[in-house]
Amino acid sequence: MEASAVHLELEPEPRHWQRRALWVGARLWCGSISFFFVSFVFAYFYLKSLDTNHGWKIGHVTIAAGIGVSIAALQLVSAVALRLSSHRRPGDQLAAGVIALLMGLTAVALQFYEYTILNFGAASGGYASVFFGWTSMYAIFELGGLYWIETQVATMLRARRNGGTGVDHALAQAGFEACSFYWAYFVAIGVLAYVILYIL
Amino acid sequence: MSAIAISASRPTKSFWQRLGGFNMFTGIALGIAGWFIGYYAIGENITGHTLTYYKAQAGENDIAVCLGYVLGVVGFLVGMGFANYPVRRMLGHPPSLTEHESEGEGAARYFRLCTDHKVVAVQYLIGIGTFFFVGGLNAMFIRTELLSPNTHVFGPNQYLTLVGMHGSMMMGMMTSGILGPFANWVVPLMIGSRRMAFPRIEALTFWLLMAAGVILVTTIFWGGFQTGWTGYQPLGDEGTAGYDAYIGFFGLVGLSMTLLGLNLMATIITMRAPGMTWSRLPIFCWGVVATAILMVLAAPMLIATLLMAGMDRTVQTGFYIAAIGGSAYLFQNLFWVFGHPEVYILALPGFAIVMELLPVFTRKPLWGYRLAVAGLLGVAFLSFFVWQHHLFVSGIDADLRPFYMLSTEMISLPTGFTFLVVMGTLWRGRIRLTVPMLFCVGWIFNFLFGGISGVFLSDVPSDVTTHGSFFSMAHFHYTIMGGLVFTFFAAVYYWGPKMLNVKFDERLGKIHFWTLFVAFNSTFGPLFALGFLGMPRRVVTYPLGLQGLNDWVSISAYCIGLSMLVFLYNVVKSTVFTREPAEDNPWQAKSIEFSLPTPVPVHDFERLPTFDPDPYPYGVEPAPIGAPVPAGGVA
Amino acid sequence: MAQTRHFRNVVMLWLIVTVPFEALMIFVLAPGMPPGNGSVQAAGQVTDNTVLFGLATPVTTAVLVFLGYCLYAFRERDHSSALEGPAIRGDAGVQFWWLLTTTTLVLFLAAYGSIRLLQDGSGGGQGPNPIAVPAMAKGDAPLQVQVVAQQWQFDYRYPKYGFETPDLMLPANTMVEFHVTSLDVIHSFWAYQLGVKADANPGVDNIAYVHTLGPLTINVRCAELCGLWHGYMFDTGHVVPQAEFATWAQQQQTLLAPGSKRLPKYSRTYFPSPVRRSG
Repeated sequence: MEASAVHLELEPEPRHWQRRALWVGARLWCGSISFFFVSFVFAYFYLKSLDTNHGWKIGHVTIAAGIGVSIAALQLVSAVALRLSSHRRPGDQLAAGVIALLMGLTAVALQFYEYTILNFGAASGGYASVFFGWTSMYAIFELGGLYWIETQVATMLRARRNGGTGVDHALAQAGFEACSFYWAYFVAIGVLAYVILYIL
Repeated sequence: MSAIAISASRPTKSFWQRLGGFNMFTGIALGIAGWFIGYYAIGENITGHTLTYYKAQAGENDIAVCLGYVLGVVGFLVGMGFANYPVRRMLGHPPSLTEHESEGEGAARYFRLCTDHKVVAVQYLIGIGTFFFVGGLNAMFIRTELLSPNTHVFGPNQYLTLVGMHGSMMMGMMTSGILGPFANWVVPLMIGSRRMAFPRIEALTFWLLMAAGVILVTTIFWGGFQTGWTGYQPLGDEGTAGYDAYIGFFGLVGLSMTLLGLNLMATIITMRAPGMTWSRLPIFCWGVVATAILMVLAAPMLIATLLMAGMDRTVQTGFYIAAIGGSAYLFQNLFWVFGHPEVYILALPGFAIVMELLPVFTRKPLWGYRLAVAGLLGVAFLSFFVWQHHLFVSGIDADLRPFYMLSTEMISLPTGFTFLVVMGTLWRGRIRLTVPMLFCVGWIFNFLFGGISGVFLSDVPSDVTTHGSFFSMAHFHYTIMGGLVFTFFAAVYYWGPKMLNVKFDERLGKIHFWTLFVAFNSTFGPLFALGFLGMPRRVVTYPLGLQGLNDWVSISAYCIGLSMLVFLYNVVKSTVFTREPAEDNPWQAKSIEFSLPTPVPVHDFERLPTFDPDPYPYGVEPAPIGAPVPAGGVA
Repeated sequence: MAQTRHFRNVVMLWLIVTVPFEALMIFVLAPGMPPGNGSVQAAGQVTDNTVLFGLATPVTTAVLVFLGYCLYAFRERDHSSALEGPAIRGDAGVQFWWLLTTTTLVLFLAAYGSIRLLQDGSGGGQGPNPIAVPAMAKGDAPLQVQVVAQQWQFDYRYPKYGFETPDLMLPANTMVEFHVTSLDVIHSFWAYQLGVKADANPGVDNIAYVHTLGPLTINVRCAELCGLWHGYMFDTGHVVPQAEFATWAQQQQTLLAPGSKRLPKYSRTYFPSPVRRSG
């Protein structure tokens, strides 16, 4: 806060409220994104079963299986690293955060690379629509999740530089836990996307 | 934690200094700049060369338009100051909860990102109120056009745009019509908290909604959109860039709704003061919980649905285009999976307000508290399983029709709980017909007809005729205008004086109620008949024989407009001219928000409040002799 | 006891109000309900509406009489009075009976509606695989009429005779099988007097059955917003005696022969390439 004027220290709400709010907020947000991506799951099975005008796949629609596996694997490692470190010391969390961040960014980059090498376009039928819609939205949401991880990493770095003064450790811990839960959940959706879009 | 520290005073700034910095005006300026960057600098350049052919065909560059809207919103939010905190967090600064909360800043707080829940509530009240009146004005235009069986004032395109804007404005902006102003204001007070769980997100929901409203209005620069508020595909795919504005509008509304619901849920779950157990939660908070569940889960589906439509129009996917493997049913299904919970997002807060206000004005405890909670949650739960009744004649496979008939009719069971609670609370009370109470009584009357007419639409054989006709239009106006808008006004007259610290004119309030009640029924009652007589929705023409009824409806609709002017006059008179400060507790209410002084201090409570066992401590305990009256809520 | 007296008053008032209203609804209003008795399906809807009105009336009057009685008998004019009502917080018996009554009503309505629906489809569009095929449509081959909707008119294709015409003409006392489809956006084929409503979706064959009765003029309107001239998408059809229909069909066959040759092959759905917006 800026150091101007008089600071009136008011009796705060109980500290644990904010921590619980983070816990609850992350879980509710997981509910929201589930319903967001369920729309794409629904679209996939709906359009596939209807196959209107034999348009599920128009022309040669083959996907880059290797890239799909790589994206899913990178995300999975990143989520596991982050989630496993969520109840450990801040030092371990920092390392896990950096790993998760780098892996996530690589996954997003790979996703956009994949778009450039595919042999079909967005108009190549129902499958192509769902593929492009789901993966691009997923990548955009992924960037949001990576932002959250970045704030955790930055908070830990700054706290280390300041020697741990002025940091509410319990709150930081709660923030990291919420972030890692969300990330694990989000990656689970990513794995589902891989199974549906690449394997089924 | 330093974040909780509040600067109590600030060096005074000149008007021009205040205009600078992060506030609404900077936001608007950056929003306009963002539009130009998105449309011209990026959109035209990435698409201009490759898609010249298509652009020439369509006359518009939808990618550029969408990018313009996206960057416009981003610019607006940056100018409002919403990016400051995220950037600080990226740099590793510790979390904080407050921005511009001190009283020293005066009215400027209302024009900027402010995390005081009472400021956000007033922002909502005024912002939503403005768009509500714009939407109402559209309705007046629609009824003007329908004075004659053929087009006479507006052309078909203008007419359809008015219909679409009226519907979108009301279904989009008014979803937050009660939760925005009243839940934001009263929920923290009721549960004994000083703020919401995520105060910045609370402010964000409001400013997103305002950006959405402006985007919807810009549709007229593109020639409007012809799809109505449901935006059915593939008709939307044919539309001008006005449909992009519709997508942008409803997408932002969806985001705002999701975040508003998430915030309210998290607040009620985690920030209840000691003693405020779930079984002591005021029923209004239960209504908010039920609505928030729907918002958190259903609204994201709307965003996804509209993003698919946007992708169809820009990057050429084929989600909804039958010829290349898509399906128009996909849109209808996804839209109504959101859309039916959506109508309960509009209706449930109304239930909650009526049940919250009745004990005050009958001087009795709420009858059947647990039944009331079960009713609210039951409606919320069932509302996810009824959407295909919107597709009864759509040609989708018919096997599930009996199931959806049953599930739709079953939703009248929890709704019936609400009616029973209301009737039980009225029974042998000491009913004070104040203005808020009159609006609650109006709700009982209107929603009864709204609910009963719903049975005709849920029954497939009867629905074949009534579906998509003025009958269904009358039905949902009875539930939403008769349900939501009446309770909205009940809440305005009930909490408004305390929120705005003014006293409304009671006589004008009563005139407002009676004119609105009569004009409303006189407008929408005949629409049931028009539907039965074969008039489909959203038509600009109708058979000559129906002109008498239509003219009657139009004139009644003007009376609704006049009645709203009475309300507007009342508000302006009391807030600008008479400015008589409100009493602390004008209704002798026993809920906690009325135990606080008016205006409510910035930080609500001096110290954490504690709560009594009974949220509705009204009434005298019945004598033990005589007829057996089980007290204590057996529900 | 005051409570018993109030309760008795409400019940009496309810009976006094409901009996004439119920009679009015069932015997006067409901039988004249639209869409009238233009077809077997339309008549079925009238019956259905009569049942619904019959059930809705006592429920509505119960709530309204209760509300009116409370406002009259329990009104407190002195708003500053310190008197309060009795602190009753619920009543298990009342709740039980309420739940029982409403559940019974709902289950009855759902069962009744399903039975009516499964009998003959009630004239609604049932999609490509109808679940409610009227008995008559199973044996005797029904007259097939394809309704082809496009912005902004309906065309009718008679596969038996091989022509397509903008005029809807149907023989009396015949089982008709409508196949409703669209060439562009969603429309809805609403033949009001026949009690038929079926959405026209691109790429979908939406089947609706109707058993026509005597000669009739039909108002056809589009009931789903389909763009600019949606309000003008209406026309008139006719049910005529069977002999007259046969003559008309033969005339049309000759008259439209040059055009009929150029029609696309009869199909349950058509996929003209869509006009896409791009970029």
